[in-house]
Order: sequence, then structure tokens, then C-alpha cells
Amino acid sequence: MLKKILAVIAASLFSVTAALAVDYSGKTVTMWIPFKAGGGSDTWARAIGPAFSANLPGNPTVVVKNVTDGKAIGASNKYFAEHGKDKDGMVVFGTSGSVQMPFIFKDERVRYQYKNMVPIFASGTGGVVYVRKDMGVTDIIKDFNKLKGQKLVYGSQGKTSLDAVPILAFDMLGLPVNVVYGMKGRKAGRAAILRGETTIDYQTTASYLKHVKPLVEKGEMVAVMTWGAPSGGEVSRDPNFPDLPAFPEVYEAVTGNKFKGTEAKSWTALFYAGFATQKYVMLPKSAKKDVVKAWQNAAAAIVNDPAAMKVLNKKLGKYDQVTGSKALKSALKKATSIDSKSEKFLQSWKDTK
Amino acid sequence: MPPFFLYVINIMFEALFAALATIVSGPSIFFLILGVLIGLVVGVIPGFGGTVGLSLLLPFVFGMEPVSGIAMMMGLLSVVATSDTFPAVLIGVPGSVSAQATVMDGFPLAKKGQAARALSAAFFSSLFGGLFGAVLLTMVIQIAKPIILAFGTGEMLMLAIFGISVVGTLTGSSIFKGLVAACLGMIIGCIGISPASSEYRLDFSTILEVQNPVVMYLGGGIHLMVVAISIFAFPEIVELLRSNKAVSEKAELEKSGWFKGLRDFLSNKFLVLRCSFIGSVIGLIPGIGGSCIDWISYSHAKTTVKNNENFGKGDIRGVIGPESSSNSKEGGALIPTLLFGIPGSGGTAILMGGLILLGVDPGITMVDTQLDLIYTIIWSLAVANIFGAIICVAMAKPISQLTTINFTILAPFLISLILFAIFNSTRSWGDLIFATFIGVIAVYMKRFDYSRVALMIGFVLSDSIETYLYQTMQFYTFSELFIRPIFLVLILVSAFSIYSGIKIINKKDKIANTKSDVLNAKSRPQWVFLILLSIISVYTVFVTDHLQYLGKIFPISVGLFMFLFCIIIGIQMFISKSGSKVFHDAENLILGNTEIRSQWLTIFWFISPLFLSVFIGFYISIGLFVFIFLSKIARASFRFSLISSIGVWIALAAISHFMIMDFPPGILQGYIELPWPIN
Repeated sequence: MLKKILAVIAASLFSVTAALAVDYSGKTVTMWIPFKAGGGSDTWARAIGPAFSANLPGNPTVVVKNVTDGKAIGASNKYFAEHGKDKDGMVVFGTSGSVQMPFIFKDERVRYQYKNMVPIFASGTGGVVYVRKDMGVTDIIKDFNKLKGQKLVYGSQGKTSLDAVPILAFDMLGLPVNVVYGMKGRKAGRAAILRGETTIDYQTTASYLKHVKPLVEKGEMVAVMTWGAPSGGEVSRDPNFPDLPAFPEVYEAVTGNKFKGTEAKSWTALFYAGFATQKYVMLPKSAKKDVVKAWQNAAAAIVNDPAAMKVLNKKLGKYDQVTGSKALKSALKKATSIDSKSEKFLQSWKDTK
Repeated sequence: MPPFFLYVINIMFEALFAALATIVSGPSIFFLILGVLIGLVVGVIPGFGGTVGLSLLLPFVFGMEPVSGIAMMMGLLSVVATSDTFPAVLIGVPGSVSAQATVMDGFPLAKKGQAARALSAAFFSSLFGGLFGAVLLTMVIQIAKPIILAFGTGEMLMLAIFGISVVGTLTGSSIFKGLVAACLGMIIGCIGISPASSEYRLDFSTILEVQNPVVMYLGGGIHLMVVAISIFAFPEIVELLRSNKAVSEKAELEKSGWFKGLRDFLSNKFLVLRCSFIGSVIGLIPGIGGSCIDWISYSHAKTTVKNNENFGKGDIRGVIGPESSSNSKEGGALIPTLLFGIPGSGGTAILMGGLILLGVDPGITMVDTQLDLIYTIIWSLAVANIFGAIICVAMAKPISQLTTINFTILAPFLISLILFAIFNSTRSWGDLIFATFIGVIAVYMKRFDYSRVALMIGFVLSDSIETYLYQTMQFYTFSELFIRPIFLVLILVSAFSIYSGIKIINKKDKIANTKSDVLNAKSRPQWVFLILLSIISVYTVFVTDHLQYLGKIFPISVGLFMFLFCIIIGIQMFISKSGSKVFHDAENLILGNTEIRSQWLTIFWFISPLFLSVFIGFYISIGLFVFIFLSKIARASFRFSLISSIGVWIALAAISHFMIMDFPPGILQGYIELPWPIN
């Protein structure tokens, strides 16, 4: 008898909670950002935070929590240790290329698994490669041999960071670029090319538009190519820079080969992880279905909100903000998975000088 | 003057005054004052600098009207380097990174009962420095581009080497002990990812599994504030606790404190000017980091003034120098931030994030198109400095009374504050553990006269030297390097700095050798400590040997040098008689004095809240610690102890709420789900 009563109570309780829609009113939702305050990912999170607040049921306060314990990898591990089994979506995770890259390169410190995450929202970006005016190059394809004969120096943060994309690209083009490591971020790389210590550099779209475009207009720098943007499974010209060739296009023109094979596949994988869909808002897979739904709906609403989009476009350039379960899943898969052949290639490429 | 030039100046001034009008009229001034007030608090709490303070503001700034938002952020940023002097002088703990060097003479002054004098002299210097930075910013913002671009990696390398060269002028009586300390600092700085090869170094991954929490923590490197607090504050507090007295050795504080401070400031106006100049110029160059500016100007003050024997023992000029530069560097650091979007300091990095949130994108076009906003920033800096200094000067005297209270009563609050500040560095258990470890080493360094400043400078510059050394070799050939004028000038400056260091040490030699035989008596712990240091150096060499060439060359060289210096000290100790300066041991002076508490007992008190935290979590244990300490050790009344511990709990809860921070949980929290804030 007692069992029966308990069962009834349990059942009714269950149905009550199931009937209750997700409601965050009066609550504080945390965005766990594994980067320090003031950086790119932080600014991105603080820009979309209020937009989520406005569009989530119950309009919770959305706060950004910068976790820097153990740098990006450690802080991401920590998220999964502490919130990997959460159901209520009170703490969401914000990733970036610097979280995806060590995962792709199979860094042994990585303890997070992308297959245990549900993507809610993803922002992409692009990158523009430029050289100093005194290289005498205006069109990378026509002037390729001229460029090849120059003293090419690139300032990098490290081979397994986002810089894997440019360094592998230079390798594939056969450009004899001397890579100098130890730059503290892309800003330092930009400072070095301004001083004339390096001669070739790239910046992400937002930073390019703000800081390099004026120099290109003044005639101090020359933009030569972009990394491109994803369209229909291919990497084609970046719509923000329709006049600049994308890297795959340059590769085909310069080497005469099709953009296929292990190298191309590996580069594309890195490009997706680092640029095409670089920043994700994610929930742990354990989150309840209606919680995921509520977040995904909020994300969709943000994309339809012109004011919020204006902020985001300004921050990251005009790129796809991916929402919707299906699109997100395929984007995340592209950004975090890699076939075994490419993986093998990248592992051995990483160790070459 | 050509008419065109006049026309440009005219436009400049018009824009300048229009910007002033925008700030002082309307709501912006209130936001500015609000920023100043938050900045005061943030600066006073050790461990919170402009970086933390500004990141606190970011969510509020978003959506504000740009001028008000800028005023608020600038108010905060410019005042932190002023108010962080309070804890530096009063308790010997730097309130933020820019007060590191202020501790050197500010705290001894407080011990002499001259806290108010030291504070107000510091505030006036800081005010002047801030205004100087603002003026410099106004003058050079439009022509600064070539100046900044003239500083290549070669010049930055030389700046870092110059920074290291001041070790000589700041170290204790033994040059080799100073060098060992500097090497140890560089080794601590090597922990984490190597700049050139992106490998993990000295993280114990050769012994432990990579997923071990210790390895994960060390992989991120040790935070500057963790080292700064543990190296300076830990030994001071242990010492004060042992003697069981108030900070000030005199019960009555000196009268007319702030007026005297003003007089000190005025009579050292040229020193203030020089140090302000040093601060803004080095601040101007992104990449070298603000953290060594204070030491450079401290060393500059010490080497250029007459009668510098009392530096480190309470010379007001040792406060005035670094305080002038610590605030003027913000003006300098703003120039590359606004001009290139490349921040020159930690604070300006976050400021830039805030500006972007406000829709103001700093960059090359800003000078051409938004000059008015640049002037708004400059004026906010200047006005905020004035407000900040006035408030600080007014508070200097009443707050100085703290130094007359018996230290044992203050200790639990300070220990809580320091542990909290350390924990806030990267908010992990590792911060607390390694701070304790470094703190204990620092206690012995102080006792045996190994320069702690040298360690700090080595730590701060380790990364710069390694990175720029490697990059310079890649970018330049020797002949290219030696035709760069700034590079050559910096070599001369460093050479001069080393020369004056040797001169100072020789002078100290004479004094040190005349000191009592009691102080310099032989003792076994000296040998133990030296052997420990040698082991660290050998360890460094062995565990970095398997790395790539670029990853290991720097730590191995530093390790070998450190080992060499240890051997030299060992030989000196072996051949010298008792009474020689190499046997400096502060402990000898208090041997047999029963009023002094045991060293290990006080160290144990310091870290006891951490032991407690392992079981019941940081939050509960801190309050409990305050209560137990006050009622048992300080023998305060039950009521006072209880109220104090509840006060600490409330304060921590408030901070936890506003800073969105969780405290380290203990075993208890692993078993039972507890409500905020003790979870």
C-alpha cells in the first residue's frame, strides 16, 4: 500500500515537473568562459550575454565567469568536472578556437569531449593575410614568385595554437616563411609587422577591419588573401572580402593541384575549428531536453534581433551565427572531428620544424 | 610660427577644452566619481588591481552612454595605483602590482610611526605622476607612432636586461646571494608553457601524471600576485606576529603627517619629475610590462640621490620615486592602446575590451576621426587623479591609526585578506599551496639576507628576456643590431646601472663587515637552505633537458648559473670565519629572547586556515579561523571574536556575490550539498 502511495506521489511529482516549462525568472545564469576578462572571447560573451538574458524564459541575469585556472585547457576541464552532469542549464560553457585546437591536436591534458556537449549557438569569423608594401606584391597569384623570393618572416604564438592554420597554409603553398615563435597573441604579431620585423601576417576579420584596413588604404600594407568562409561544404571566398582570393583558391592556382588530399583535409579541419565556427555556447549533454530547447530558442531569437546582431557583427565581422539543432551539430562535428589520416598527418607535421 | 601650425594647435585646444566641458558637466562626472570610489576600494584590497576592478565594471559598462562609461572606467583605472599604497605602507602588502616597490621604504616608515607622512607623500607623487602621464599623452598622441615603432624586439630585450641590471643596486650585502635569488625568480618565471616552443616546463609532468591537479595548475604558470604577496607579505606578517607588537614601534604617531608628506614631495620635485618621466616612457612601450617600472624607478631614486644609506629602512624618497612612476605609466600605456589597439599594460588591456563594448574601437583611425574621445579619456584620467588623491590624503591620517593596534589582533583579518587575495589570482587551490611554499622560502630568504627584490625582478622579467632574446636572434644579425641607436643607448644605460650597483655593494660591504659578530654567526640552517637552493637549480637543469632546444636553453642556462652562484656562496661560507657577512642570520639577534614566538608556530598559524579548508571548505574555515585566533591567541573577548568572524563571513559573501566567485570546497562539500555561499 505504502509503495503504491509513494509511486503515485512520485508519478504526480514527475508529471508536475515535466509540465513546468523551463523558467529562469529571478535566477542567475552563468556563462563559463575559460579566458581572462577583456579578451576576444570575453567580449563576445559579454555581448551575447544580455541578448540571452532578454530571450531566455524568465529573463535571468546572465553573468560571465572568467575561469583561468590552468589556462584554456584547465578551465575547460574544470567545467566538465564541475558541471558536466548538470541538468538545469544554469552554467553554460563558452569555447573558442583555443579550446578546439588542443583537442584536435590530441593534447594529453585535454579531458573534455565535444561529443558530450550540446551546441546552442556558434559564431564564426575569418582571417585576412597581408604583407608589407615593400614586398612589392599586389596579387598573390600573379606575383607569387616575387613573394617567394622575399624575406618572409611570420610572428607566431605557437604551432598548435590557431596559428596552425597560417603555418600549414604557408607550408602547403611552398612559401619559405621563417616562423618566429613567442608572440603573445595576434596583437603582438601585428605590432611586429608594423615595426618591420616580420613581413607577413594575418588578423581575424574584426581586427583586420579595425587596425589593418586603414594601413592598406594608406598604402603601408597589402592584403593578399583570406582563409575563406564555409559555403555548401566547401571553403570559398569570404563574403566580407569578395575581391580577395581564399586560400584554397590560391593553393589551386599556385600549385596547380586540386585542393584535395590529406594536407587539404587537415587544413580544412583546422580552419573549421579555428575560424568557420570558432566560438560556441554549449550545454552538457546531460541537460534536460526542454532546457536545451529553451536555450536553442533563445539563440534563434537573438539571430533575429537586429540590435544584438549589430553588436556581434561588429565584434566578429559579418559571419554566420549558427543556430538550430541540426546546423549546429554538423558545424560542431566539422570543428572538432578529424579523420585518422589527417590526424596522423597533423601529429607528424606538428613535430617538424 | 607658421600659421598652419597655429591653426592645428588651436583646433587641438578647442577639442581639449570641449572634452573637459563634456566630462565635468552632465552625468559623466558622477560616473567618474563612482569609478574613483570603486577604484579606491579595489586598490586597497590586496590582490585586486586595475585589471580585476575593470573586469568587474565591464558588465555595467555595456550599454552605457560612451562618455560616462569611459569616465567611469578611467576613474577606476587611474586611482587604483594611488590607493594601493595604503596596504603597502600600513601592512607591507602591496595592494596591487604597482605598489611592489612602495613596500620597500613605505612599510619601514610606518614602523617608525610615520605612516601618514609616507602615505601623503606617496599620494602627492602619485597625483603628479598621473597628471604628468595625462599631459604627456596629450602632447605625443599624434606623433607617438614612430617612437613606439622604434622599439623593436632588440630594444625590448635591452630594456628587460636593464631591468635585471638594477638587481645590483637593490640587493642585500652579498652580490652572489642576490644573483641566486634572481635566478630562482627566473626559474619560477619559467614554470608553465615555454614562449618559443610551446612546451610545458617545470610542471612536475616528468614525475607525475599530466592530469594531476598540480601539473595542470603549474601548466598555467604561477601568477604574478601569488609571487608578489607571498614573497613580501608572508615574511613580514610572520615577523610581526612573532614579536607580538603593533606595526608602529611608537605608540604615538607623528603629528602633522600629511603636511610633512607634502613638504617631502615638494623638496623632491625633481626626483618626482624624473620618475614620472621614466614611468610614462616605459609605459609607452607595449611588451615590457608595467611590473618592472616600479623597480626601475626605485633603483633610479636610490642611485641618484645623496645619502642613500637609509633606503630600505624607511627613506621617504624610496616611496616618492616608485609612486610617481606607478601612476604616470598609465598615461604612457594608453598611447599604444589608443593608437594601435595594442594595450601597454594589464589594466589597459581590459580598458580596451570595455571601450569596444561601448562601441569605441581604439586603433589607428581613432586619432584622426575621434580626437574628442581621446581627449575625454585624457581628461578623465587627470580629473580622476585629482579626486582620488584628495580622498586618499584625507583618509591617510585616520587610517594610519591602524598601525598602533597590536598586530596579533589585526593578524587574523590580514591573513584572511591575504589568503583571499592570493586565491583570487587564478581562483584555484594551487594559488594557495604555492604561495605558502614560496612564502616559507621567502621567510628564510629574509632571514639569511637573500634579496627578495632580486627574486621578484627575476620573476617579472624572466619571460621577456627569454622571448625577446630568442626573437631578437631571429630578426636581426649582430651588425644590424649594433647600428640601432636606441639599442646602443640602452646598453650604456644598463652598463651604468651595473656600475652603480657595484659601487653601492662596495659601500655596503664596509658597513656589513662592521656589524656585530652576533648577527653574522655561523649556523646550520644556513647550510641547509643553501643546499636546498642548489637542489632546485640542479632539478631545473635535469627536468628541462628533454625539451626542444628552444624550450630548454633558457631554464638550463639559468639553472647552471644559479648552481654556480650557490657553489661560490658555499666556498665563501666554507673558508670564512664566523662573523663574516656571508653568515648573515637575522635569527641570531633574537636568540634566547622568550618574548619572541617561534618561527614555525607563526607559519603554522598562517597556513592553518588552509588545513581547515581541506576539510570544511575555504569559506567556513576562514570565519572559524578568525574566531579561534582572536579568542585563543589574541585573547580578545568572546563577543569581539564572534562579531569579527561574522563580519568576515559577510564581507566574503558580499565579494563572492559581486565577483561571481566560488571559494575552494573541502571534503565536506564533496559529501553534502550546501547552500551558497558555503558550497
